[in-house]
Amino acid sequence: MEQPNIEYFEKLSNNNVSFKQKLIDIVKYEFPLELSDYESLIKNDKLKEASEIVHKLKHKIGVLGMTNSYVLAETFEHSLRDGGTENQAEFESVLVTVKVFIDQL
Amino acid sequence: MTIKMKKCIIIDDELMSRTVMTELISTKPELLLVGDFPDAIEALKYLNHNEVDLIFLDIHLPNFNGFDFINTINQTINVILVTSDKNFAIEAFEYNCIVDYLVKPITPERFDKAMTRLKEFEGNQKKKKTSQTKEDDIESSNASEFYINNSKRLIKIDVNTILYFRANGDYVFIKTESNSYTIHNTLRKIENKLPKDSFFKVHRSYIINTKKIVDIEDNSVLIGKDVIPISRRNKSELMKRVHLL
Repeated sequence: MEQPNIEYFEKLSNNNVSFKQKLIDIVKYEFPLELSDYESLIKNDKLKEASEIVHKLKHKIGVLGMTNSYVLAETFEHSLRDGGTENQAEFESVLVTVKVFIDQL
Repeated sequence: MTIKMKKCIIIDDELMSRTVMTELISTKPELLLVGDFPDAIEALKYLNHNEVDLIFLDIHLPNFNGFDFINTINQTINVILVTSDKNFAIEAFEYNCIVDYLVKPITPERFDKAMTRLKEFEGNQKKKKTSQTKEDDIESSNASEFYINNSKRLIKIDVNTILYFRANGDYVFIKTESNSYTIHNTLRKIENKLPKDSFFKVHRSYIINTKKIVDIEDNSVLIGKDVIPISRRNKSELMKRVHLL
Protein backbone atom coordinates (compact mmCIF):
# COMPACT_ATOMS: atom_id res chain seq x y z
CA MET A 1 0.00 0.00 0.00
CA GLU A 2 1.27 3.45 -0.97
CA GLN A 3 2.19 5.57 2.06
CA PRO A 4 1.59 9.30 2.54
CA ASN A 5 4.39 11.79 3.15
CA ILE A 6 4.87 15.53 3.71
CA GLU A 7 7.53 16.14 1.01
CA TYR A 8 5.22 18.59 -0.77
CA PHE A 9 4.81 20.64 2.41
CA GLU A 10 8.58 20.61 2.93
CA LYS A 11 9.21 21.76 -0.63
CA LEU A 12 6.62 24.55 -0.44
CA SER A 13 7.70 25.78 2.98
CA ASN A 14 11.38 25.93 1.93
CA ASN A 15 12.66 25.45 5.51
CA ASN A 16 10.03 27.79 6.94
CA VAL A 17 9.03 25.65 9.93
CA SER A 18 5.98 27.70 10.90
CA PHE A 19 4.56 27.61 7.37
CA LYS A 20 5.10 23.83 7.20
CA GLN A 21 3.25 23.50 10.49
CA LYS A 22 0.46 25.71 9.14
CA LEU A 23 -0.02 23.34 6.17
CA ILE A 24 0.00 20.33 8.52
CA ASP A 25 -2.58 22.02 10.75
CA ILE A 26 -4.82 22.71 7.75
CA VAL A 27 -4.71 19.11 6.53
CA LYS A 28 -5.38 17.92 10.09
CA TYR A 29 -8.38 20.29 10.21
CA GLU A 30 -9.86 19.80 6.73
CA PHE A 31 -9.35 16.06 6.20
CA PRO A 32 -11.52 14.81 9.13
CA LEU A 33 -14.34 17.19 8.12
CA GLU A 34 -14.26 16.01 4.51
CA LEU A 35 -14.01 12.37 5.63
CA SER A 36 -17.05 12.80 7.86
CA ASP A 37 -19.03 14.48 5.03
CA TYR A 38 -18.02 11.65 2.66
CA GLU A 39 -19.13 8.91 5.09
CA SER A 40 -22.46 10.60 5.71
CA LEU A 41 -23.20 11.11 2.00
CA ILE A 42 -22.25 7.54 1.08
CA LYS A 43 -24.40 6.22 3.92
CA ASN A 44 -27.35 8.20 2.53
CA ASP A 45 -26.63 7.08 -1.03
CA LYS A 46 -26.02 10.64 -2.22
CA LEU A 47 -23.43 9.64 -4.79
CA LYS A 48 -23.21 12.85 -6.79
CA GLU A 49 -22.71 14.97 -3.67
CA ALA A 50 -20.18 12.38 -2.44
CA SER A 51 -18.21 12.83 -5.70
CA GLU A 52 -17.78 16.53 -4.83
CA ILE A 53 -16.24 15.57 -1.48
CA VAL A 54 -14.05 12.91 -3.09
CA HIS A 55 -12.83 15.72 -5.34
CA LYS A 56 -11.60 17.58 -2.26
CA LEU A 57 -10.21 14.44 -0.59
CA LYS A 58 -8.33 13.74 -3.83
CA HIS A 59 -6.48 17.02 -3.39
CA LYS A 60 -5.48 16.03 0.17
CA ILE A 61 -4.28 12.66 -1.13
CA GLY A 62 -2.29 14.56 -3.77
CA VAL A 63 -0.60 16.95 -1.35
CA LEU A 64 0.40 13.94 0.74
CA GLY A 65 2.34 12.61 -2.23
CA MET A 66 0.18 9.54 -2.96
CA THR A 67 0.28 9.67 -6.73
CA ASN A 68 -1.25 6.25 -7.41
CA SER A 69 -4.00 6.81 -4.87
CA TYR A 70 -4.69 10.19 -6.47
CA VAL A 71 -5.43 8.42 -9.76
CA LEU A 72 -7.63 5.91 -7.92
CA ALA A 73 -9.52 8.78 -6.23
CA GLU A 74 -10.05 10.44 -9.59
CA THR A 75 -11.51 7.24 -11.07
CA PHE A 76 -13.76 6.80 -8.04
CA GLU A 77 -14.87 10.45 -8.22
CA HIS A 78 -15.97 10.01 -11.84
CA SER A 79 -17.64 6.70 -11.02
CA LEU A 80 -19.70 8.35 -8.24
CA ARG A 81 -20.62 11.23 -10.55
CA ASP A 82 -22.03 8.64 -12.96
CA GLY A 83 -23.95 6.93 -10.14
CA GLY A 84 -21.54 4.00 -9.64
CA THR A 85 -19.44 2.84 -6.69
CA GLU A 86 -16.58 0.98 -8.40
CA ASN A 87 -13.28 1.16 -6.47
CA GLN A 88 -15.11 2.22 -3.28
CA ALA A 89 -13.33 -0.34 -1.07
CA GLU A 90 -9.88 0.55 -2.46
CA PHE A 91 -10.58 4.26 -2.05
CA GLU A 92 -11.76 3.83 1.51
CA SER A 93 -8.65 1.86 2.43
CA VAL A 94 -6.61 4.85 1.16
CA LEU A 95 -8.67 7.10 3.43
CA VAL A 96 -7.86 4.86 6.40
CA THR A 97 -4.13 5.05 5.58
CA VAL A 98 -4.31 8.86 5.31
CA LYS A 99 -6.26 9.14 8.55
CA VAL A 100 -3.71 7.06 10.47
CA PHE A 101 -0.88 9.16 9.00
CA ILE A 102 -2.55 12.49 9.78
CA ASP A 103 -3.36 11.43 13.34
CA GLN A 104 0.35 10.82 13.89
CA LEU A 105 1.47 14.17 12.49
CA MET B 1 12.65 50.81 -12.50
CA THR B 2 9.39 50.13 -10.67
CA ILE B 3 7.34 47.04 -11.42
CA LYS B 4 3.61 47.59 -11.89
CA MET B 5 2.10 45.01 -9.58
CA LYS B 6 -0.81 42.95 -10.80
CA LYS B 7 -3.66 42.86 -8.33
CA CYS B 8 -4.91 39.32 -7.95
CA ILE B 9 -7.49 37.38 -5.98
CA ILE B 10 -7.97 33.69 -5.18
CA ILE B 11 -11.38 31.99 -5.34
CA ASP B 12 -11.32 28.49 -3.88
CA ASP B 13 -13.46 26.82 -1.22
CA GLU B 14 -10.55 24.74 0.16
CA LEU B 15 -8.43 26.43 2.81
CA MET B 16 -5.47 24.22 1.84
CA SER B 17 -5.60 25.47 -1.78
CA ARG B 18 -5.94 29.11 -0.76
CA THR B 19 -3.00 28.79 1.63
CA VAL B 20 -0.77 27.14 -0.99
CA MET B 21 -1.73 29.75 -3.63
CA THR B 22 -1.12 32.60 -1.18
CA GLU B 23 2.37 31.27 -0.52
CA LEU B 24 3.17 30.84 -4.23
CA ILE B 25 1.87 34.34 -5.04
CA SER B 26 3.97 35.83 -2.24
CA THR B 27 7.13 34.61 -3.99
CA LYS B 28 6.37 36.76 -7.06
CA PRO B 29 7.15 40.48 -6.74
CA GLU B 30 4.93 41.28 -9.73
CA LEU B 31 1.82 39.91 -7.97
CA LEU B 32 -0.15 41.59 -5.21
CA LEU B 33 -2.78 39.45 -3.52
CA VAL B 34 -5.71 41.71 -2.63
CA GLY B 35 -8.23 39.09 -1.55
CA ASP B 36 -9.04 35.42 -1.17
CA PHE B 37 -12.57 34.12 -1.23
CA PRO B 38 -14.04 30.72 -0.30
CA ASP B 39 -17.10 31.40 -2.43
CA ALA B 40 -17.83 33.06 -5.77
CA ILE B 41 -20.63 35.34 -4.60
CA GLU B 42 -18.37 37.15 -2.15
CA ALA B 43 -15.78 37.52 -4.92
CA LEU B 44 -18.39 39.01 -7.27
CA LYS B 45 -19.36 41.57 -4.65
CA TYR B 46 -15.68 42.49 -4.29
CA LEU B 47 -15.20 42.80 -8.06
CA ASN B 48 -18.17 45.15 -8.34
CA HIS B 49 -16.23 47.77 -6.40
CA ASN B 50 -12.58 46.92 -6.99
CA GLU B 51 -10.24 46.59 -9.95
CA VAL B 52 -8.39 43.29 -10.25
CA ASP B 53 -5.89 42.18 -12.92
CA LEU B 54 -5.82 38.43 -12.36
CA ILE B 55 -7.99 35.74 -10.76
CA PHE B 56 -6.80 32.33 -9.55
CA LEU B 57 -10.04 30.43 -9.87
CA ASP B 58 -11.10 26.94 -8.81
CA ILE B 59 -13.60 25.30 -11.18
CA HIS B 60 -15.46 23.29 -8.51
CA LEU B 61 -17.09 25.91 -6.32
CA PRO B 62 -20.12 25.41 -4.10
CA ASN B 63 -23.28 26.38 -6.01
CA PHE B 64 -21.24 28.05 -8.76
CA ASN B 65 -19.13 26.52 -11.50
CA GLY B 66 -15.89 28.38 -12.31
CA PHE B 67 -16.96 28.79 -15.95
CA ASP B 68 -20.28 30.33 -14.85
CA PHE B 69 -18.22 32.76 -12.83
CA ILE B 70 -16.12 33.69 -15.88
CA ASN B 71 -19.30 34.25 -17.91
CA THR B 72 -20.73 36.43 -15.14
CA ILE B 73 -17.72 38.74 -15.20
CA ASN B 74 -17.92 38.77 -19.02
CA GLN B 75 -14.34 37.49 -19.49
CA THR B 76 -13.01 40.94 -18.63
CA ILE B 77 -10.25 39.80 -16.23
CA ASN B 78 -7.43 37.35 -16.92
CA VAL B 79 -7.94 34.00 -15.17
CA ILE B 80 -5.63 31.17 -14.17
CA LEU B 81 -7.69 28.08 -13.44
CA VAL B 82 -6.60 26.06 -10.43
CA THR B 83 -8.31 22.70 -10.21
CA SER B 84 -8.00 19.04 -9.32
CA ASP B 85 -9.91 18.14 -12.46
CA LYS B 86 -8.04 17.62 -15.73
CA ASN B 87 -11.23 17.14 -17.72
CA PHE B 88 -12.02 20.80 -18.32
CA ALA B 89 -8.78 21.71 -20.13
CA ILE B 90 -10.35 21.75 -23.60
CA GLU B 91 -13.35 23.79 -22.46
CA ALA B 92 -10.99 26.18 -20.67
CA PHE B 93 -9.14 27.22 -23.79
CA GLU B 94 -12.35 28.28 -25.47
CA TYR B 95 -12.25 31.31 -23.17
CA ASN B 96 -10.06 34.21 -24.31
CA CYS B 97 -9.37 35.30 -20.75
CA ILE B 98 -7.92 31.99 -19.51
CA VAL B 99 -4.15 32.20 -19.27
CA ASP B 100 -3.30 28.77 -17.87
CA TYR B 101 -4.76 25.64 -16.32
CA LEU B 102 -3.06 24.44 -13.14
CA VAL B 103 -3.79 20.99 -11.77
CA LYS B 104 -3.59 20.62 -7.99
CA PRO B 105 -1.38 20.03 -6.10
CA ILE B 106 0.61 22.86 -7.68
CA THR B 107 4.39 22.79 -7.53
CA PRO B 108 6.51 25.96 -7.41
CA GLU B 109 8.01 24.97 -10.79
CA ARG B 110 4.59 24.73 -12.44
CA PHE B 111 3.60 28.03 -10.89
CA ASP B 112 6.74 29.66 -12.38
CA LYS B 113 5.70 28.32 -15.77
CA ALA B 114 2.25 29.87 -15.35
CA MET B 115 3.88 33.24 -14.64
CA THR B 116 5.92 32.96 -17.86
CA ARG B 117 2.70 32.17 -19.74
CA LEU B 118 1.01 35.16 -18.11
CA LYS B 119 3.75 37.50 -19.41
CA GLU B 120 3.40 36.10 -22.95
CA PHE B 121 -0.39 36.25 -22.74
CA GLU B 122 -0.35 39.90 -21.62
CA GLY B 123 2.16 40.75 -24.36
CA ASN B 124 -0.17 39.29 -26.99
CA GLN B 125 -3.15 41.12 -25.46
CA LYS B 126 -1.22 44.42 -25.67
CA LYS B 127 -0.37 43.85 -29.35
CA LYS B 128 -3.98 42.97 -30.11
CA LYS B 129 -5.22 46.05 -28.24
CA THR B 130 -2.87 48.37 -30.17
CA SER B 131 -4.01 47.10 -33.56
CA GLN B 132 -7.64 47.18 -32.42
CA THR B 133 -7.33 50.82 -31.29
CA LYS B 134 -5.91 51.83 -34.69
CA GLU B 135 -8.80 50.06 -36.41
CA ASP B 136 -11.34 51.73 -34.13
CA ASP B 137 -9.85 55.21 -34.58
CA ILE B 138 -10.41 54.94 -38.32
CA GLU B 139 -14.03 53.98 -37.74
CA SER B 140 -14.69 56.72 -35.17
CA SER B 141 -17.61 59.01 -35.93
CA ASN B 142 -20.23 61.23 -34.29
CA ALA B 143 -23.31 59.87 -36.04
CA SER B 144 -26.68 60.64 -34.45
CA GLU B 145 -28.05 57.27 -35.49
CA PHE B 146 -26.69 53.88 -36.42
CA TYR B 147 -27.87 50.47 -37.51
CA ILE B 148 -27.52 47.21 -35.64
CA ASN B 149 -27.74 43.72 -37.03
CA ASN B 150 -30.48 41.98 -35.08
CA SER B 151 -31.62 38.50 -36.25
CA LYS B 152 -30.65 39.30 -39.86
CA ARG B 153 -32.54 42.63 -39.76
CA LEU B 154 -30.83 46.00 -39.76
CA ILE B 155 -32.52 48.12 -37.13
CA LYS B 156 -31.99 51.88 -36.93
CA ILE B 157 -31.29 53.25 -33.48
CA ASP B 158 -31.39 56.93 -32.62
CA VAL B 159 -28.31 57.51 -30.47
CA ASN B 160 -30.26 59.92 -28.24
CA THR B 161 -32.64 57.12 -27.17
CA ILE B 162 -29.87 54.84 -25.90
CA LEU B 163 -29.66 54.43 -22.14
CA TYR B 164 -26.60 52.19 -21.83
CA PHE B 165 -24.49 49.35 -23.28
CA ARG B 166 -23.42 46.29 -21.30
CA ALA B 167 -20.63 43.91 -22.36
CA ASN B 168 -21.48 40.22 -22.24
CA GLY B 169 -18.55 38.12 -23.52
CA ASP B 170 -18.48 38.47 -27.31
CA TYR B 171 -21.88 40.23 -27.22
CA VAL B 172 -23.16 43.63 -26.18
CA PHE B 173 -26.55 44.29 -24.65
CA ILE B 174 -28.07 47.63 -25.70
CA LYS B 175 -30.85 49.22 -23.66
CA THR B 176 -32.81 52.04 -25.28
CA GLU B 177 -35.82 53.99 -23.98
CA SER B 178 -38.24 51.59 -25.62
CA ASN B 179 -36.33 48.39 -26.44
CA SER B 180 -33.36 46.20 -25.71
CA TYR B 181 -31.08 44.34 -28.13
CA THR B 182 -28.15 41.95 -27.96
CA ILE B 183 -25.62 42.17 -30.75
CA HIS B 184 -22.36 40.42 -31.59
CA ASN B 185 -19.79 43.15 -31.00
CA THR B 186 -17.36 44.52 -28.41
CA LEU B 187 -17.78 47.46 -26.08
CA ARG B 188 -14.45 48.90 -27.28
CA LYS B 189 -15.59 49.02 -30.91
CA ILE B 190 -18.89 50.60 -29.98
CA GLU B 191 -17.28 53.14 -27.63
CA ASN B 192 -15.26 54.60 -30.49
CA LYS B 193 -18.36 55.13 -32.62
CA LEU B 194 -20.31 57.04 -29.99
CA PRO B 195 -20.41 60.81 -29.44
CA LYS B 196 -17.78 61.45 -26.77
CA ASP B 197 -19.74 64.30 -25.16
CA SER B 198 -22.70 62.15 -24.11
CA PHE B 199 -21.38 58.59 -23.73
CA PHE B 200 -18.97 57.50 -21.05
CA LYS B 201 -17.52 54.16 -19.99
CA VAL B 202 -18.28 54.06 -16.25
CA HIS B 203 -17.18 50.47 -15.72
CA ARG B 204 -15.26 47.87 -17.73
CA SER B 205 -18.61 46.35 -18.74
CA TYR B 206 -20.78 49.46 -19.11
CA ILE B 207 -21.02 52.56 -21.30
CA ILE B 208 -23.80 54.93 -20.29
CA ASN B 209 -25.53 57.87 -21.94
CA THR B 210 -24.71 60.60 -19.42
CA LYS B 211 -27.74 62.61 -20.56
CA LYS B 212 -29.97 59.81 -19.22
CA ILE B 213 -28.60 59.75 -15.67
CA VAL B 214 -31.36 59.90 -13.07
CA ASP B 215 -29.06 59.96 -10.05
CA ILE B 216 -25.61 59.01 -8.86
CA GLU B 217 -25.10 57.32 -5.53
CA ASP B 218 -21.78 56.05 -4.12
CA ASN B 219 -20.44 53.66 -6.73
CA SER B 220 -23.51 53.34 -8.92
CA VAL B 221 -25.61 55.39 -11.29
CA LEU B 222 -29.32 55.08 -12.01
CA ILE B 223 -30.19 55.06 -15.72
CA GLY B 224 -33.90 54.61 -16.37
CA LYS B 225 -34.77 51.97 -13.79
CA ASP B 226 -31.41 50.19 -13.91
CA VAL B 227 -28.55 50.56 -11.45
CA ILE B 228 -25.18 50.58 -13.21
CA PRO B 229 -21.90 50.14 -11.28
CA ILE B 230 -19.22 52.83 -11.53
CA SER B 231 -15.62 51.74 -11.14
CA ARG B 232 -13.59 53.79 -8.70
CA ARG B 233 -11.13 54.64 -11.47
CA ASN B 234 -13.84 56.28 -13.62
CA LYS B 235 -15.90 58.00 -10.96
CA SER B 236 -13.92 61.26 -10.81
CA GLU B 237 -14.06 61.61 -14.63
CA LEU B 238 -17.82 61.04 -14.55
CA MET B 239 -18.22 63.68 -11.85
CA LYS B 240 -16.37 66.18 -14.06
CA ARG B 241 -18.89 65.56 -16.82
CA VAL B 242 -22.00 66.24 -14.76
CA HIS B 243 -22.89 69.84 -14.05
CA LEU B 244 -22.97 70.32 -10.31
CA LEU B 245 -24.75 73.45 -9.08
